[in-house]
Amino acid sequence: MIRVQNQDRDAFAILVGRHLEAIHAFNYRFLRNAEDAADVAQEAFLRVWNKAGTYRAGRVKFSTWLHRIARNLCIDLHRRRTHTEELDSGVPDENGLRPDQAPAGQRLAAALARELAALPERQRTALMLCHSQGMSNRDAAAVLGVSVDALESLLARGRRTLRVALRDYR
Amino acid sequence: MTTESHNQAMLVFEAELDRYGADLLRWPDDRRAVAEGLLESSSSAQRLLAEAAELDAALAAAFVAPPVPMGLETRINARAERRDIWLEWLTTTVLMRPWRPLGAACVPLVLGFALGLSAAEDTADLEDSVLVAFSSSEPLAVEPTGEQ
Repeated sequence: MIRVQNQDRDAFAILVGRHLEAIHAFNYRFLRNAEDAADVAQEAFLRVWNKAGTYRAGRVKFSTWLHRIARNLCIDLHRRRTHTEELDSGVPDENGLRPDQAPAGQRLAAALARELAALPERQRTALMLCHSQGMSNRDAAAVLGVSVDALESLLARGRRTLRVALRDYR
Repeated sequence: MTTESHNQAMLVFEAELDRYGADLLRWPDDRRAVAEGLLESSSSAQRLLAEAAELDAALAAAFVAPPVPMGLETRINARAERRDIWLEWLTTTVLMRPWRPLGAACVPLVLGFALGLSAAEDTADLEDSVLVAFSSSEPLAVEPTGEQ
């Protein structure tokens, strides 16, 4: 990252290669749209390049800083575009089945997608960072800008809501 | 363990499963030791852990993401490079030496133009007031000067 701060393009390319998959996956999980996920990934890395000087190495990990940039971009984009129609209960799934006609596993997945979409953004992002981005609670807390205790509280509330809501689908 | 204390332990365990998830490796060491002890002796605890593991698996499936689109990495690097090339051009061509004498020569020209423009605005103001004075239907009050 120090080399990137000195505007070393080769170092930047290494950084992109190392973190693109994770940040693209995060964006997709947040936005549920492949094109938007790619655009936000590009914008996030360009911000890294343009604002590399503002990164303080000792304070947060690079991946945490990058996730924080991506999350802010995702929130901005999500405010402009909503894709809730994709998660409506009456919308047929990829196989053309309505959720109430689908097998139990698919019903559970569809219900989980709905419940996740209904969670407050911070609870959903906390679950995403810890379950799918492989982050420790400490790093996830840094991405969200909260204490570890507050993050664990977000995780607990999110998981409890999902657990209770999904009981009927088991 | 009494029934009451067992129920209490189950409530705490369930709350901690919500907090830390079914992967006990993510638990703080002290809490993990307590949980492992409980799991050895309680089928209710095992059931709660299985339920939490099922939720974790469902979450992992729900958060599945497609692979990075072909060409995205190249596009990002090209964009950074393009910005660099533009900045380099700006700093070396526009702001650096070759253009400085020309820029310096332009300064008096620009100042002269600005001064001329401002004088023109004053004249325009004057002309406007004269026009208003002469277009008025009311006779202008002219103070007698005493001149014949």
